[in-house]
Amino acid sequence: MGRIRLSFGLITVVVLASLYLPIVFVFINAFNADEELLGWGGFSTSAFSKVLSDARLRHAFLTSFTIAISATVVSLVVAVTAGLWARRAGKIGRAALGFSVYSRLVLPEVVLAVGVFGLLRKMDLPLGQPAIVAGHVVFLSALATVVVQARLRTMNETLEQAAADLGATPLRAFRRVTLPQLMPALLAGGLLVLTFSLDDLLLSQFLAGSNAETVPMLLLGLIRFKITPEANAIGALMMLITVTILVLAVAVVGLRSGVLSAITGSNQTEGDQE
Amino acid sequence: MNDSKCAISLREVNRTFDDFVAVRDLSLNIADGEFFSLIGPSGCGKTTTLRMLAGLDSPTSGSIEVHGKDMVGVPPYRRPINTVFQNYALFPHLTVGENVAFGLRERKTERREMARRVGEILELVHLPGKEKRRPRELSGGQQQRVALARALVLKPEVLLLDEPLGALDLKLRRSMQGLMKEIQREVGITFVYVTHDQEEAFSMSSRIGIMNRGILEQVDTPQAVYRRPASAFVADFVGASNHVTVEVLSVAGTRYRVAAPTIGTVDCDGVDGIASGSTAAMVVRPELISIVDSGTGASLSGTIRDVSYNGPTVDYLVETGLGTFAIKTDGQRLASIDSSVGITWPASACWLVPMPSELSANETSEEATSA
Repeated sequence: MGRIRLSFGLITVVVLASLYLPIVFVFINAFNADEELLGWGGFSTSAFSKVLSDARLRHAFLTSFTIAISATVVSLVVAVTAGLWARRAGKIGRAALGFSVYSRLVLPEVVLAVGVFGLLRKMDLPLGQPAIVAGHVVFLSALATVVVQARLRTMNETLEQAAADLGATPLRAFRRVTLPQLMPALLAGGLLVLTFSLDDLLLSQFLAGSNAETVPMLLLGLIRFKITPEANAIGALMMLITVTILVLAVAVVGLRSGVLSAITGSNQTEGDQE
Repeated sequence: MNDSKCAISLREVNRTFDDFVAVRDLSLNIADGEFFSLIGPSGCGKTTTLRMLAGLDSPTSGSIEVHGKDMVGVPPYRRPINTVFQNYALFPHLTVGENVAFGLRERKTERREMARRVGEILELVHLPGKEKRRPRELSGGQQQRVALARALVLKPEVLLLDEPLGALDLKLRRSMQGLMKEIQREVGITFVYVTHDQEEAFSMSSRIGIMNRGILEQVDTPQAVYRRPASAFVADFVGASNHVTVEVLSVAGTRYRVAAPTIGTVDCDGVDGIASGSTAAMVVRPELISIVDSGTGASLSGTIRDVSYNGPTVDYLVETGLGTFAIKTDGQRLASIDSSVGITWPASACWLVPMPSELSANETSEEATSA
């Protein structure tokens, strides 16, 4: 018994270590004074100051965030529209939407990339930042739709009918009842899209054309020759930003509802007895 | 009923879903300030009728008027009608106060006026000072009263209630019925109440409509519906009744002479328009039948198959040559299972209704027992 427990513990430690060690190394090397990263050359923040003063990198950050935020907004609009439509749609419509959503999730990204690339060429549309946004939306709106639909399924349609009964026009009912109820799902879905978009390399690479460069693209270019403290510093910064967004989001929604419990949503009519 | 006093007027309303007829040729007038109940088994079309009044559904044909104004095609948010939904449909992301103020805000009510009216109406439903609570922090009965307050605060011309007490336990239901009646008297708004519980409808309503398979079978006061049911279905639905198939010998107005097998000739009142020479169903109320010694002056003899003791009453099932009879007695005389007894009733306990068609007879009795 003791031996089995010990070996299970060991496996857990090894798995966790191999998951987190690379991340730890990124952080450590970001502060390494040794330019060649051959050993520990002492503590230095020079990599960060170099990175932050680099115009090309600042531009890449801006590009990445512009793309990510645009993709998030458009994806959420698509997700909410699709989700609301699916509630009214017949069996065939719902099946079609399900197929579209899950095929986009399981198809290899490279297939999507080639497809969007080919389509844009065919339509004679330029590559660049808007093309990347479009590519990300094609892929990531499916992710957002899954999250929004999961929430909608737990929501009671009689609430909208009650709003209408109390005098709210369809638009007002959406504003005052549907949207607030969807908020946790929009936040969770939005975060997913944002981080996936920030992280994306493949679609961006295909659709960037000659003048758009995102952070992952720049990073790949940097390490093609050699890994420097600057590359690690960029990685560390990306991570900090993502974690910060997550923490802020959770703080805004409040731990009261909690993003995850809100998605599974089980708060309809539980009440203590009198 | 003249038009100015008529809160709701439905004319030949039909609602079909594909090949299913949910409501058929429904015509109904409901007076101003009336507490009207629509009852029937599930799937009888009562909820569809309510939804058409609320504007959440529209009739396939026919007209719906509220105080003389045509409502067909008017969306729910423009109707002078509010609804208390079956599962309350309170907004979980809003407080009790915000829930009650929801409609007032849509009507752009001034802030202070809004707070005053919300406070007043919560007082009326016995929930004073609960504005800041969340719906989920309240019990089922309290949530129900919030739903009532949220609709009443808008002073609608008509209030619709869709099985509002269905989710509550029996004791709470009885006390809520009392509150509902009291509130209706106080505000004087026309209530249209949908339920499958005939006792609930009887105890609260000034008039009752009984629906069955999309058809409004009878509209009358609770007493009239109980004493003079228009059909075998109504008789069954408003309280278990016994049927004897009889032959109509002669007709004089609504007075009939019928021949019942084993029992012989009976003179009784009944529904208007049953033809002489036809077969009809004679309804006998369980509480008007008495159990006597077999043989002496009994209408029928039979064997007791079941006894259930309910405190104030004792119910028996007696198997006779004409089928099984349900009997409700005051418990003065106790008989045991499997004993042979006689049963008898006065002619005044009988009421004649048209013979239900074979199909509906089976179906309705099943639905009535399950309801």
